[in-house]
Amino acid sequence: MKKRFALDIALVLGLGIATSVAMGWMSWRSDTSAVAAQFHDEVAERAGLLDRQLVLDLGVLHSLKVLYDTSEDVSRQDFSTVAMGILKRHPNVQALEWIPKVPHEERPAYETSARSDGYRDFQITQRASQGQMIQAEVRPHYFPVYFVEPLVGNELAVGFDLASSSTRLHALVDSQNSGRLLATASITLVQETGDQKGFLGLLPIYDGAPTSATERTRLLRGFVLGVFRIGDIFQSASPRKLPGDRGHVAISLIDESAGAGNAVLHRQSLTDDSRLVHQFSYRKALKDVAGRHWAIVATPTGDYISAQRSWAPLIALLVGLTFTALLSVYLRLISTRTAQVERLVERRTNELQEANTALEKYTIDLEHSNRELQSFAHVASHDLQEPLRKVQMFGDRLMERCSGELSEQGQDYVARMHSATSRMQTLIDDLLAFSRVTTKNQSLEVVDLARIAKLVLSDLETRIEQTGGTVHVNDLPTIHADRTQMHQLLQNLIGNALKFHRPGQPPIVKVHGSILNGKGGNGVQDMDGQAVFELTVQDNGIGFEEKYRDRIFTIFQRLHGRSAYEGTGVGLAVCRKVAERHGGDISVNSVPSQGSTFVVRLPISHSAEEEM
Amino acid sequence: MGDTGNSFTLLMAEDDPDDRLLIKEAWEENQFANELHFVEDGEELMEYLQHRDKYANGVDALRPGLILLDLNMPKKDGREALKEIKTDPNLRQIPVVVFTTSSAEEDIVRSYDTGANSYITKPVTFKALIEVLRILRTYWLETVELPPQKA
Repeated sequence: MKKRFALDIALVLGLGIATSVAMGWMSWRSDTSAVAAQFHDEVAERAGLLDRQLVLDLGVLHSLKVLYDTSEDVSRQDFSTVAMGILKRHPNVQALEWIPKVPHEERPAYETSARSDGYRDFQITQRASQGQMIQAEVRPHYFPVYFVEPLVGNELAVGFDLASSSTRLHALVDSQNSGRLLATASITLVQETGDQKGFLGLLPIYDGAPTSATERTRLLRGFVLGVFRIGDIFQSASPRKLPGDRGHVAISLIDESAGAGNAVLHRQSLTDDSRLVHQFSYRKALKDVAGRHWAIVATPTGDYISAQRSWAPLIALLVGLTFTALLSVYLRLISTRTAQVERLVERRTNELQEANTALEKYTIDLEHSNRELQSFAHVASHDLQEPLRKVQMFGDRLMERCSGELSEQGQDYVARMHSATSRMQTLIDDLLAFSRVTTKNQSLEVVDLARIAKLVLSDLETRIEQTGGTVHVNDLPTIHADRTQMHQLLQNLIGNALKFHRPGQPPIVKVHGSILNGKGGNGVQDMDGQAVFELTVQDNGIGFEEKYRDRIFTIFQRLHGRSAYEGTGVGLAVCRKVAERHGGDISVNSVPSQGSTFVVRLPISHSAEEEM
Repeated sequence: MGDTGNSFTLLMAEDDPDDRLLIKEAWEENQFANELHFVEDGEELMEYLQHRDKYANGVDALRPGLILLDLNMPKKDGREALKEIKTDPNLRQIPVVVFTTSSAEEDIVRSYDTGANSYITKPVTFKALIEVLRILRTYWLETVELPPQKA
């Protein structure tokens, strides 16, 4: 029993833990997707902000272009005024420049003009291989930095010929031919003092509105140029609320149109890159950035992910495990309880068995005692009667043979002795009858009570005649009973009714039988709902006081002296025994000097009903 | 009327000396000339009938015309003796009247089953005893026809 429960509990425990872990894992996975989705949203938001910032910053070149669209000859002063205004509003713009297209023949004029504007050492320059600025080589066209705002910090750039740098020239040509605002690939700015990368935005200015590349080359006046430091733009497009600022996300800005090795424009890295979780890396392309394709790639750290995660997976696991634990404890309790109940049942069974054994022993004892009683009946019938008979007989002989020799007193003694012996004879006979009712096995058969009553009346004929009595017998049925005992019952009840008549009052005895069909009809209580045969024997005799109603059914109990009414006090005890042996009872109602009514009630078995 | 007359012997098996005395007196009271012989238990009864032991010479043991048999006796009781008599081809023709104090239904039925010819409960008064013995003698000696006696 115990083993079976242990197995059950282990099974529940195993299944419970497995289910809990599975639930936790599934919840973990869905949570991971949710965290990733949220991270992507944040990265996309950052990309959007960067897009907007770039449009805003690059847009300043269009504002500057208006200056050249409206005037054929823009003075240094004009440029300075407009550029200063723009720079004030766009702090990310490092510098604004005017790059005129200078044919070689006009080079001296430009240099002279600039010097007259205040740049005393102005000349068109290029960067030497060692890094220092030198006079530019002779080329068909120059694209020098002619106006620059602010000047402070950009002094080195003034006069620098952009055509001398292949990266810059490339952008210049592309911009000139497309007529569009173009950005260069990332460059190290001439003005750069830190390690930031920068780029240049170029917007071509033409005379009129050329439509083809050839026309554009011919009509090109120059470029308005913006110098942008990528780091600054990136910073100003970084919202405070985004996680990048918390140091938990590494972000790179990449120029994907720079060919192999995708040039990294900017990197916001962390102090400890080992904590990055690369499987969460997310790339988001920016919108077209002045002809270039940029993208940001963000990678979160484990800390970032942990912070975003919900408690759901852990809760699912804990709830599952708790439930499993509780279920196991509950099962354990049940198994303990079951074991207790089983032990209790076992104990009760043992007790019951002991009780049964005791009962068996008791039954055996009872049978033994019944046998003893039977042998007593035998002893009473034979061995006790034998000497009694002798006393009677020798008494007879004494009277017959020696009466002449006996005095009158002697004869009286013998007569009294004789009377005593016949009384003892009756007593023994009655006792025998009583003990037979108790010990003899009943043989139930169909008994016609009316016939029995007739036999009884013929036995009692002498007494009826002597007393001048009448006996009315009505409605006695046929029932299933012991014939001899029914005879005794009627004999004793009717005999008593005749015997105990009032002096000078002839007895009238009414014997009546009826069948009560259970269910407590007629105001009479039924016996467990069974049909009942009720026998009533009513007389108009001497009756007795209520207080004796139980006593009269006890053996040898008499209410009268022998001289008044003969008898041994066994008759009614026999009647009660007969009623009880048939599963019924006997009761009496009596009023002194008016009469008694005896009622015997016997349950009728089903087999008996069928026979009737 | 039988003509066996005085040769009719009544054999009584009775263990109780009081009863033997009473029956003897009652028999004498009737002034019967026929012999009344007593045996005291079932064992002696069978010895008498089969001429064994103390009845070996056969002279004292005339074949009885009627046996009165008490049921409750020592050594061998009346029930066993009755059974032996009624299964013995030489003896079973002898009428046996059970004469006992028992009025138990069981004893009555069993006795007749075993072959008893009558069953009488011992009378309670001496007068009745005299009467019963008279009737018995008249009936078995004068009224009924019995098979001729064997040797």
